[in-house]
Amino acid sequence: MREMVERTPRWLSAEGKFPEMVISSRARVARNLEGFLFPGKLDGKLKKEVLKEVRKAALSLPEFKEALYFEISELSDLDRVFLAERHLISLDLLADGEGKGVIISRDETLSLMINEEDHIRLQAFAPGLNLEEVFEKVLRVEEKLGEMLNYAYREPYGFLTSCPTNTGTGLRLSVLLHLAGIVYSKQLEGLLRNLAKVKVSVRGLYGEGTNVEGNVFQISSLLSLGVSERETLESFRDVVEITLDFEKKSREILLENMKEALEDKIQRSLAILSSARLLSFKETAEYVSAVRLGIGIGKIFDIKVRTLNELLLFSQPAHLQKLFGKEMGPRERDEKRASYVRTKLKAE
Amino acid sequence: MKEILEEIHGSTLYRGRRYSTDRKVSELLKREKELEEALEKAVREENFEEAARIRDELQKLRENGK
Repeated sequence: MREMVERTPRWLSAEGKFPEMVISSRARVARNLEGFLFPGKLDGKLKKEVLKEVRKAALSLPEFKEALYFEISELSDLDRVFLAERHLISLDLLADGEGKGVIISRDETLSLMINEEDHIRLQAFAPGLNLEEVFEKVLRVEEKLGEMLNYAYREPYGFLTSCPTNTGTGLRLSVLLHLAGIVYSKQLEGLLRNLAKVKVSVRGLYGEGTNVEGNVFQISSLLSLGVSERETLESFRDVVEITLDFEKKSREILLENMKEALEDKIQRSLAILSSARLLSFKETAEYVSAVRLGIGIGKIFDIKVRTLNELLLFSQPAHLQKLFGKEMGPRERDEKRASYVRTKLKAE
Repeated sequence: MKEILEEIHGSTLYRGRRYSTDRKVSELLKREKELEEALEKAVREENFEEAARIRDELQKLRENGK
């Protein structure tokens, strides 16, 4: 894990389409093994059997060549949070780690959680708007695994899952969107109302039950029955594009109606990031969002989107502690965070 | 169960890829998938003659598979 610490995962590299507005794209499938109860009802010994079987199959695939493997129960609390901050494991996997594991590809674009809510939760990540890539990748790996493992599958329902919200294809697509224009122009409620109609969910930075920080929203598809995999991809892509158009329009409105106030907010945020001596994560995320918007509307040129992604990643509590190589309380973290952000921006 | 699924998804109809661990069946499903993709491509490219041929082959495959 030490080598992961200083590395930026590929999905935060700001390559791909619209990296300033679309931080990353993700696809995941949920699968279970025939002959075993769902993880929530499965006893410890059998969980270990599932863990062993899935791990063996996955590690034989070229996509997981030289992959990292962690058994959650063997990780410290800090390491668990570190992986969750990188979106490689869910908050669900991190609690009560008995019989749970995660396999992570070298470039961190694939992760396979074992014995989370389902026996298998396979995820693919890509930077920017790249739903096609993650869609193809996750289904390709799922198919290969399915040749070695015996998935729980029953017609007419399709793939069986622990929660009925995933039954069927078990597929979910999501994007992390930076929607500062919509938030600043006070149109968020309108967006949420519209999105609720088209069967997608809107959540915070870390998914279900988490807060929105720095105007970053996770939008994900919801349906896994009544639609094919490809239809899910196509309809979700449309929703994302409509949302991005809405964001672009909101930015135009802001520039028309409150240009000076907006520029002031952007430059002030950059100034604070560049000189503050104490910064909480929440504050950092808010200022980073304003600077990000500044890049988006062509007011800031000398800072890369990738740098802002890194600021967000390493400002998170567990990352910061891993980066500085020690456990720190909130106050010390605020100090180190400010120092990290200053140094990083100065180097630009 | 059916009611719950209907409420969540607005449908209980599975329309995703089919799956089987039976080797013989999975070969057939694989072939079916290949043909479906080829059909999609032929239609996209407006190659309707080819599309019709693939459609017939698909139909035959599905009938035999039952």
